[in-house]
Amino acid sequence: MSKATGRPFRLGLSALAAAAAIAAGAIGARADVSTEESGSILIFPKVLNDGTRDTIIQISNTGNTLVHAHCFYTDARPVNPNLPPGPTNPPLWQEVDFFIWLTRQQPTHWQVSKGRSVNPRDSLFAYDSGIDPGLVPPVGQGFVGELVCVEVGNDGLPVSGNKLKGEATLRSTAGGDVSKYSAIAIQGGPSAGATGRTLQLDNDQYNACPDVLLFQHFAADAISPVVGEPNNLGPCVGNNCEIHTELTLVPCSRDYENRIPGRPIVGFEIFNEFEQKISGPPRTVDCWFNEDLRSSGFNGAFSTATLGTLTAYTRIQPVGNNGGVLGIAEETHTDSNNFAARAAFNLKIEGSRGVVDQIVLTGE
Amino acid sequence: MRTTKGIPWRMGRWGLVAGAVLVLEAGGAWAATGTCTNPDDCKIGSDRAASIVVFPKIVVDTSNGIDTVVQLANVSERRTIDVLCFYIDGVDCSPRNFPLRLTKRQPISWKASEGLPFLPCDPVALQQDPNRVCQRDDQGNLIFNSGSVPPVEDDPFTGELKCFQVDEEGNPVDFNELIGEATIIHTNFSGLDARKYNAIGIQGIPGRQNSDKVLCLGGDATADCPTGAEYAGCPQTLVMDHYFDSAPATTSDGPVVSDLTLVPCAEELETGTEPIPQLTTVQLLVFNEFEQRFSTSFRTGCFDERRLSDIDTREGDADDSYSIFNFAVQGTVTGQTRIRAVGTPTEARGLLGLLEETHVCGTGPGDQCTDAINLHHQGRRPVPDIIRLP
Repeated sequence: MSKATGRPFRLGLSALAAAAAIAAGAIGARADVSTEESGSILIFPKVLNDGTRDTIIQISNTGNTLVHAHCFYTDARPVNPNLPPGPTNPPLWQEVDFFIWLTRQQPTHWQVSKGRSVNPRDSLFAYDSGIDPGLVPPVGQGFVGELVCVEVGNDGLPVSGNKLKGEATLRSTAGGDVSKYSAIAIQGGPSAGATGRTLQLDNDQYNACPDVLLFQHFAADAISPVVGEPNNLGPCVGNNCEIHTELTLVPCSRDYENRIPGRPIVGFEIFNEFEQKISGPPRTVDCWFNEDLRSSGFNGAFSTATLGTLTAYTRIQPVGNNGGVLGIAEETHTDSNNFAARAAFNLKIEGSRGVVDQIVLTGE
Repeated sequence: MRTTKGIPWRMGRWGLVAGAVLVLEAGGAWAATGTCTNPDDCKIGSDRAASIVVFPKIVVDTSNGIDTVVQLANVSERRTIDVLCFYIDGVDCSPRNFPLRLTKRQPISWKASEGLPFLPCDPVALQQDPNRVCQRDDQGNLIFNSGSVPPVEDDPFTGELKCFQVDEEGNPVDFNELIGEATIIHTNFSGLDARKYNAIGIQGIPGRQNSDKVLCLGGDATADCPTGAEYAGCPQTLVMDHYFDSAPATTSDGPVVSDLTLVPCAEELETGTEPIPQLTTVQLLVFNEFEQRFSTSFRTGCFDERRLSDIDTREGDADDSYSIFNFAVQGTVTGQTRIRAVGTPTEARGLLGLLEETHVCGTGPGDQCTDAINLHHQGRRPVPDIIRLP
């Protein structure tokens, strides 16, 4: 009898314990990518040397031991530079990798059009003075794409040190206008590197990608509320001083070993200031997505005519199982003297994806 | 015997049911807040929705063409939320509060110089403009905004904006449904400049709020915080990558200088209380690209903005070339600085901040172009920072 009654009792307790463990696991497993904490994978979604702008990369080791990182530039220019990008003219998706080493707490920087050479005789007060982090190749004129750096050990295999942080400054080569954003950091967990150069973004090896990106922005062709009337702050003849916003998205998954870029599809839910919901057309992030909200691909979903308000709030969510996305946005404010001022900012995140994204590094 | 046999079986079934409820609630709470469910997950950061949002720097100086556009949104898909905001003057530390009600998933924006007399779905605004179409609830009743945003009290104004998610009675809540951005625009007839940053969110820890007006950010239970932390704790260290002042932006461009803005996590916002700026010592460790380490310190109050080279030298340009934040001293273009507020055994004195860079350019007012960047965070303060609401 005691067996007969004890077994179900234990079963009941076990069920409760198991369920509690699952619940605790569901809570404990949660982790986010971050733009304000150091991580083991850094993603700079927008890196340009397109003739009008150059990019300055800053990366720091926030720890007290030496850090190695395996970095990848991805060239996302269209295959045929003479034709507009599209399904028949996809991005080149040409990766170039290099390694950097940073001593404890060491910051470093480079201008992507120049790269950074290893020259122990760099003089003080020169642009490259400091401990060179390794040979950083320059990117070619016209480059548009992204930079990814993964923390690795001496053997080149991924490790979870969570010591890397970074920023990118996009600087106009003509006027000198600047905009800046933080690199997106993906933190590693205790089992990072368990599958070698295949990195699982599964909240175990590394943080999972966000479920939703939160994007608060001006309408695509919003008139600046500051330039011109009513305070006559700056010139705005014809009340046409618009604010334009460019959205940059990159896939969380990519396979550098087999040259397979990520191709997630994302949907857009846009809410105006009257809380009205407008759905934007789903878009494919074919390795690198960089479009003005006025782009025809959005079917006018972000326009002032559609939204009817100065600002809006958009939820960007991956559709299906093609992988997650990360991104930044950049605003351009204009006046009628043809001055333009850009300001970049990071998108916010919500939740974490149940589907595992995967980054495959190149081998030896 | 059936009874004794039945109880364990029922317990087993109840165990399963309770477990299932636990799992669902875990997920449900996560879905409801969209952000965090337990103290370790709740964070301070500008990249996530939160119950408190901090805009460290709001600037208005219309005579010089400077204004700030503030954007604030309710990310909740389920509920209308109440918000209590405070402008805090950076000169005399005086707070000015204003309440708002945002409908679900509603973004709003305003110029700090003008405020917002009516929110988009305010009943009066809807009467004046029949073209405004706002949402209705399940019963077909219009969902209204309430409240308004006043302009900042002074012009020029430099200070901070803090907004708190509260319930209808004004008590703080932990739903983590606010996000925000600020764009500082400088425009005149000689150029145009804009810089933008994300408001810093302080996430509430679900289930920890005790409905009083004393908000406890991090730490263990104390006399002021009997239930322990109600919100994520402030960072132990702020980390910033920066150009050393006067370093060249690129191989062919002019020098860059940077300004650091710091505001305290703790705040005394109680009505009738004379705000007393709490002076906090800030310790800074500076590393250049040779991994050489330097340190300095200064004291800060309710709002502090200063040029990096003025942290360890007299204010103004005269001594800048002797600063450890200057290219002339460090010899390398960039550095990493770790910022740590010195607390006491009972006061965390945590800080939040923002870095702004000014580059020489040909398109900005006064040939200056700026950008703004949020600081990175490391660790948490061991004792609470306390915010007292009215």
